[in-house]
Formats: sequence, C-alpha cells, structure tokens
Amino acid sequence: MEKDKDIVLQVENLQTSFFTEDGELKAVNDVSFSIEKGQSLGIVGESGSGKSITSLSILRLLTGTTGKIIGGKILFKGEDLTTFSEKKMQSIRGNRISMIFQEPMTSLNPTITIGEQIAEVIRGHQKKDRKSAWEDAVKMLSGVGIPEPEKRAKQYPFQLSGGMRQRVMIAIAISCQPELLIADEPTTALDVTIQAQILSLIKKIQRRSGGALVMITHDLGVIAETCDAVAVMYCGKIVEYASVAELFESPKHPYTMGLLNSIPSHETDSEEDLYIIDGQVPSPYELPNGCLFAPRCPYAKEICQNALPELLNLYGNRLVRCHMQQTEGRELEHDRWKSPSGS
Amino acid sequence: MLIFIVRRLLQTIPVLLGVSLVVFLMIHLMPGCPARAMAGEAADPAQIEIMREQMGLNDPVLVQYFRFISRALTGDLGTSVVSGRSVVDEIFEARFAITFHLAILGTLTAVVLGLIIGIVSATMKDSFLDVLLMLVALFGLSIPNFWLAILLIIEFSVNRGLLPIVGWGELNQMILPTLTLGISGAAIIARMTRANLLDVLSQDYIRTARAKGAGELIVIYKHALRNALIPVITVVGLQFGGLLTGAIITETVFAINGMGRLIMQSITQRDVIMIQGTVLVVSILFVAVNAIVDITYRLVNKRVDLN
Repeated sequence: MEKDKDIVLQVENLQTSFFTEDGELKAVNDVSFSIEKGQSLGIVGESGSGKSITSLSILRLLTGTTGKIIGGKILFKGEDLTTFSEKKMQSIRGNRISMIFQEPMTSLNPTITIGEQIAEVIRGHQKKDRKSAWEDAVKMLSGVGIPEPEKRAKQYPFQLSGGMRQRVMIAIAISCQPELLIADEPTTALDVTIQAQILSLIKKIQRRSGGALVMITHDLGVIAETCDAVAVMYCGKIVEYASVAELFESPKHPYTMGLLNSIPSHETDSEEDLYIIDGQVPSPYELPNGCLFAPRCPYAKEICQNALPELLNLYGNRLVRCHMQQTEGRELEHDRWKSPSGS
Repeated sequence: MLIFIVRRLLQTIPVLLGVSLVVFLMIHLMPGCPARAMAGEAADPAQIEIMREQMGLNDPVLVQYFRFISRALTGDLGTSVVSGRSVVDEIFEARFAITFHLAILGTLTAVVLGLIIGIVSATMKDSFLDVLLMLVALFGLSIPNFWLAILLIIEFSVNRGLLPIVGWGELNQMILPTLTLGISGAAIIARMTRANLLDVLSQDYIRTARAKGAGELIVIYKHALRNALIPVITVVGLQFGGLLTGAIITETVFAINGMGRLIMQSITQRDVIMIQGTVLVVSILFVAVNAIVDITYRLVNKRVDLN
C-alpha cells in the first residue's frame, strides 16, 4: 500500500490519434507505464515513434493539432487527467507537471523579457504579487546557473545563447516545484559541450526536489546518463521496458539490440563496423499486420508477419513485445545484425 | 537605437530630393503652358510671353529647379495661379487639419474593426463565423471607395435621412466619410491579423505558454497578439500615410475640403503651382510617416538586431 502512494504518474493503455485527410494516424497506440516519486524514466525511440506525443498527451497539450486522446487513462496521483476540465488542467500545467521542450531557440516568447516569462508562471500558480514573483524569478535564474541574473531577467530571449535559453526553460519548468518534470529532447538542439551541462543540471534539480522525471530522447547516451528505467518505443507502442542497467546489459527486443549496436563506440574505427537497422520505419498509415518491427527484423519468422505480439512480462518489471521471446524464451544472438557493407 | 533613428532620417533626404525632382519635372512635362493658363483664354502671345518671363519659365530648366528647391526650403511653394493664395497657407491653414482629422478617424475605425474581426476569426478558425467574417472582409477589400461612399449616402442620407450628405465639421458629417475609409482599411487589417495570429498560434512559444498553465485569454492577448501585430503595425502606418496624403475620392464624393479635394480641384483648374506644391507636401508627409513607422517597428520588434 505504501508503495502505491509513491506512484506519481500511471499511464494506462493511452491511445492518441491524429485525424488527417489521409486517415487516422495512431501516434500513441496502447501505451502503459508508471513512474514513482524520485524515479526517472526514459522514453527512447526514433522520430515518429510517438514519444513526444505521449508527453504532450499527458499535459493535454494537443491544442491546435488534429491530435486527440481516444482511449486510456492518465492517472496523476490517482486522478485521471483525461477527465479533467481545461480549467483544472491549467492549474496542473507548469505547477504540478512541467515540461521542457526541445527547441530553446523558439520556445521562449521573443517579445517578453526572460524575467517576466518566469514570473508569470509563479504569479499564475501562487498567490504572489509582481514584485516578489519577479524576485523569485531572479532567484530561479541564478539557481539554473545564469550569471548576473538581475541583468539577464530584464533581457529578451534574442540576447541569450541557446544553452542559456534552455536554462531559462528549465527555470520556468521548475519554478513551482513540480511533482513531475517531463523533458522532451532537452539537449537535442544544443552543442555537445552544453548538452552535458544541461543534463547534469536537470539531474541535479531532480535529485534535489525528489520529483519524478520523464526523459524523452532518441539518444541512448542521454538515457544512460540520467534515467533509472527506460521504455523503448516503436511506431506508437512500447516494445521493451527495463531498468537502464538491464537494458544495456541484455536487451531483449531485436529493435533495442539494433539500437544499441548502432551506437558508435571507441572500438569502432571505421564506418564498416557501424551497424545499422535495415529498412525504414513503416508509414503510420500502413502499419504492418503482425509485429510492427517484423519487416526490419533479422529474426522475424512467419508468426511475426501475422500476429502482433503482446507485451510479455519476462520477470519482475521486465517487459518485451516479441514473439521470439514468447515462443522460444531463448536469448537472441546479437550477431544477426549485419554491418551495411558486410552482407 | 539612436544611430538607427539618425540613419533612417538621413535616408529620407535623397528620397525627398528625388521626389522634388519628379514633381518639378512632372509639371514641366505636362502638356499646356502654365503662363497661358494664368494669363487666361483671351490673352495674346505677347501677354503670354510677358507672363512666361515673370514666372521665370524662360530660364534654363536647371535654374528653375534650383529656384524651386531653394524657395521650397524657405517654406515658399509659390502662389496659386487661380486663387492667388499662397500654396503653403492654403494647405496648412485650411486643408491639412481636415485631412489629418479624417485620416485619424479613418485609421482608428479601421484598426478597431480590423483587430476585432481578425482576432475573432483566428480564434474561431474554420467556424461559420470565421468564414462569414472573411467573406465580408473580402467584400470590403474589393469594393471601390467611391461606390461604397455612394451606397452609404443612398442608404443613410437619401433613404433614411439620418446623416448629411456633404461637408465636414459637425460630428454627424464625419460618420459616413470615416466609415467609408474605415471599412476598406479594416478589411486589410482583419485579414492580416487573422493570418499572423494563426501563424503565431502554431509557434513553439505558444505551446510553452500553454504548458505554463496560461489560460486561453492570456495565451492570445499576452503571448500571441504582441507577436502577431508587429507586421500589422507596418500596414496600419502605410494606411495612415495614405489617408494623410489625401483620400482624393472620398473627399471629393463627400465634398470635404481636405488635401485630396485640393489636388483634384487644382488638376481640373490646371493650377500647376498648386499641384506642384500640394504633391510635394503630400510626398514629404508620406516619407515622414514611413520613417516613423520604420522606427516604431524597430522599437516594438525586439528581435530586429539594432545594427
């Protein structure tokens, strides 16, 4: 019972679809996961795998798109966010659940000062007057490592570098001490040197606040650095779920293996040794009937083409969606992944 | 910023010189001789020749141009061939105030109407109201001013007898001309506001504002509108500049004695000195308004690099 109380977010069978002229696009298709207080969960996947749409669905931020949550529950501290009124969602956003976006260059309003963009959230969610909200905003700026915060607070986004702007985004996100922080590719648009700084800042803030963190990325390196558990998404579905250590130690899904094999390492000395996953992500309008990964999978058998595998609990909370694991239960050998020039 | 303002003002000098040259040459290239016009229909060649000499029309063109410029710089734009009144006096003592008044009222109406229609349309995109309003705006954009003015006169003055047909000064005389100018201006502003607002509403920073828990009103009026209106400022400025230089057709239809009607009257009366002076003043006003718009644009748009 005690453990249940610590669950911050529990997503159950979430389905989000976009309705376009070409038909229904199932961006998030039956996704479930949960995250406890103090835990950080990584969601990893290629572009179009539905990871960002999952996060936007949690905050119900699909406004202005044709996207709609069509099924499932999003339980935040036991309350289902999908049933909340827009008004009630507004009191949650930026206050109890916050989000950091991918593009720091365009995610800040160009016509409003940095300080006001932070103070605005504080005023919106806490009963504070302009002056003390502004003072808090300056404190937040120095908290995320921005030098001369009083001066910076009066500046506009164009006067700051990309890394600085992402720090401001973080300051906005954490200004009301949220219980859940969602970071959607927070470092993708930044230089490598800045990436490490931003990641360690996010990690530090999470440890200090004890809140839950959802880290969305396509970069397994980011996951390794910041997360406890990881969900691998492919075509709107979770294909594997494991603790970070286990995932890197022994990936169970062929797609995860492929991903891990395609990370260049120090031993990779030429392009020949770099593995790639053959083929392309299937079009979301024409998803395969069977396993979504079957067309690209080197282990695929007949059953994979015909039936969608269930998400199988191997042991503990180790989940994988693969027929090979289900029917044979044996370890798949990694060497089926071929180098591009080797075959 | 100061450097920008100074540089922008300096840029107007060559433009104004060009304008003065064009205005000057235009008069001289026009068929018909101003001396003949001034001397009257019955004048014989000798009288016309005396008149030409008096007006300096026998001097080389370059000399005439420099005389025109140096007099203009001292605020002397000559005297009307028809009324004998100084051009500067005619414009600034009688006509300019009326046109300025009309331009302000017309622009205000256009801005208020245009913004309301544009914002409502954008926030209710693709609704029946949006389609209806944009259709109305398209009409407003397509209907020529003189026709709209006549329609308004027929309905409100002739049929209902509510408002006077002509003149300027009384409040009820101002309503129809203001509406005429306001409606066509509003149509452009409405369409631009709608398009810009929709564009801005799909930007990343609007999603950020929503992620901060901002309500729809704050999202639109605080976060979106500021950014959406930056290009609209330019259009409003140009419209105001256009109206300030005289709404020739509207002023003529409603018999308002502003600068537009002055230009019209001078042309029909072949009052070359008056045409020359008025067109020059009007051009200077337009260039000045444009410079002010540019400077305002820089002040409002924080993203524009100051260098």
